Amino acid sequence: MKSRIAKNSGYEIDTACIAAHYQPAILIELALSRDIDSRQLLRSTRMRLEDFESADTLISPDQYLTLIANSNKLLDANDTSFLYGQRLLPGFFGAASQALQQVTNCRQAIEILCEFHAILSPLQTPRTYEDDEFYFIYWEASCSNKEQRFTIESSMTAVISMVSWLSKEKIPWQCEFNYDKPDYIEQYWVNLGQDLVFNQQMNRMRLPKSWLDKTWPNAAPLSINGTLIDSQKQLKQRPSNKSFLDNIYDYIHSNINQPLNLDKLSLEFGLSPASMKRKLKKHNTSFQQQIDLVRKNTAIYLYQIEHLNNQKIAEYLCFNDMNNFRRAFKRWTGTSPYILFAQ
Amino acid sequence: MKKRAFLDTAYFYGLLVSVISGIAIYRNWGDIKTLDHVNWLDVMAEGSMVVLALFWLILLLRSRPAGRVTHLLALGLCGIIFSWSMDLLDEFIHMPSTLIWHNWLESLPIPIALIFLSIGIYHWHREEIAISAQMVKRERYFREHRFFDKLIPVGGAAYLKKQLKLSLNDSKKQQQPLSLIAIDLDNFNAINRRYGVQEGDHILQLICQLLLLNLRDDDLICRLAGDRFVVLLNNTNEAEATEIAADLQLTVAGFTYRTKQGNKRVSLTASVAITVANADNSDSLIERLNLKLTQIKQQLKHSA
Repeated sequence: MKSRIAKNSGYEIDTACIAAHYQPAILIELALSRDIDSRQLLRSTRMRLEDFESADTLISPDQYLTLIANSNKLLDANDTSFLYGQRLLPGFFGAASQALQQVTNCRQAIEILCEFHAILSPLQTPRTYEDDEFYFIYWEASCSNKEQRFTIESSMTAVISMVSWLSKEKIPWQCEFNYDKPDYIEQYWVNLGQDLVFNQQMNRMRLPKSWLDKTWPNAAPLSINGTLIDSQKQLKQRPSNKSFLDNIYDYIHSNINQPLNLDKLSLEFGLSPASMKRKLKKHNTSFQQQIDLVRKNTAIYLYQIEHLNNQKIAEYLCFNDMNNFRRAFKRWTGTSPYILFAQ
Repeated sequence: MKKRAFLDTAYFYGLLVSVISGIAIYRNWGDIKTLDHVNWLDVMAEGSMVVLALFWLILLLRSRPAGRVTHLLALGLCGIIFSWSMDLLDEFIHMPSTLIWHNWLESLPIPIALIFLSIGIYHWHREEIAISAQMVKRERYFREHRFFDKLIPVGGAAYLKKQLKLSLNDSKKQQQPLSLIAIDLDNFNAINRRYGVQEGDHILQLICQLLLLNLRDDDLICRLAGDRFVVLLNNTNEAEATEIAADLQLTVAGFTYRTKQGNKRVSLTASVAITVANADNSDSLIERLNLKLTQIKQQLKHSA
């Protein structure tokens, strides 16, 4: 019974679900190539160097995040996340990585990345939408906001580097970040391009849609189908194809236009409200924070993509009163909808 | 940089032996003081001097390559540590004042040690001058190791910004033009993916040396990030800078790397951009330069 629930509600911050010889091993190799002491590197990760050689050691997101924190501290250079990101995709992560190398175009690559993110990007969950002009990818933490800047830098670098390698073209990406401009901005320029916006509401990248469906040189439209079936099998062997927070986000997202509360959410996940609360707390978040996050992202989507006005957005998000909506919006974003949407 | 193995234990053994024999001599001819006769303030002060001098010795031996200068400095420090530890011993053991030579044990090593240390520091000074001559084009005015790149022996972006600020001030005062060149390797990402990051790192190191060879003594090269270098040219107008940039581009194009594994030929090309300082500050100048480079690279892709 316990395992069924765990399977349904997604991998959690302490679920052993990341193959140690995938992304974590790449980081270890990077650190060792810079003469970092392996004992210090693995401090408080509860892992040994040998664990990374075996094909069946699984580690938890929490252990992986500790490893990231250690590497970042020991390497003490501001290009670590970018060097790491460059090596992440397509990667050598089984069938899913192989599929990425056979894709026909950029759209298919991003779709595979989203579908198999539990394997390809276990710490940051990519999601997409598009309007007439642009295709957007935005990232939310799969399990924890710890080391957010590092994981965002490496995830975005990974996508941009992979796309430029597979397409053999220089694509004009725009990246926006929900944090301040860092003082090592040069690393962003060289690795992500110069079209950068800081202090935004989310971590999001966009590319003009004209690049999306161009056929790539290594496309293998026939053989990719078999590879995708293999990838599905690969995903099924994992504890889960989505994280617990992914599932919460997706559930709230598809029910955002009706009243929601903790009890309803808990019922849907087959948990008691108390254990739901405890689980959210374990991920350093709460029901209110999660619903605010989805509402914020939805409001921005409705405004920018669907071009709804404030009144309509408030109605869609179940606010009867504009004053309430304004106040809530201010809490999510730190600014009023009139100011943010006037930009 | 590889950490050096902690091999110079000979100094520590020598020190240990001399301190132990010092203790033996004191024990033999002196009387141990009772605890209430010990001045603990003196013990603390003299003890911490010994500990600090030991710390200097360890740092010295761990950071410097073996050689004459290191040897002299280490001997000098050993002498100081010995003499200070005898001083410390004096606090616990009372020597009869009839003995003259026990005073030597305390006082004689210090001048000898200081002579060694002074000779060592003099040669160190000569050595620094020799090394600085090699560091021309990589550093100017001031040295700050924290800004140095971990992989490639030139300054990073932070060092460039500091230097640029100084140079901008100078150029305003002297009414001289100041130019910047950015050099970015084309498709370096693909090289890293095809041959591995170790080869990529090695290529960057070699390219950096190559660029250094083509610069004047007054120019400064820094690694901005990844495979992008920036050269700071004092007293240089746009026409001269364009010429230098073209030369650097040619140099990179003429260079062929052979991979360590498999001995494969790798040829490289680079994109360059130049900008001349107007009324801007160092940040906006670097940003403008990079924007220009991005545009140049974009056009390159379209025409290819």
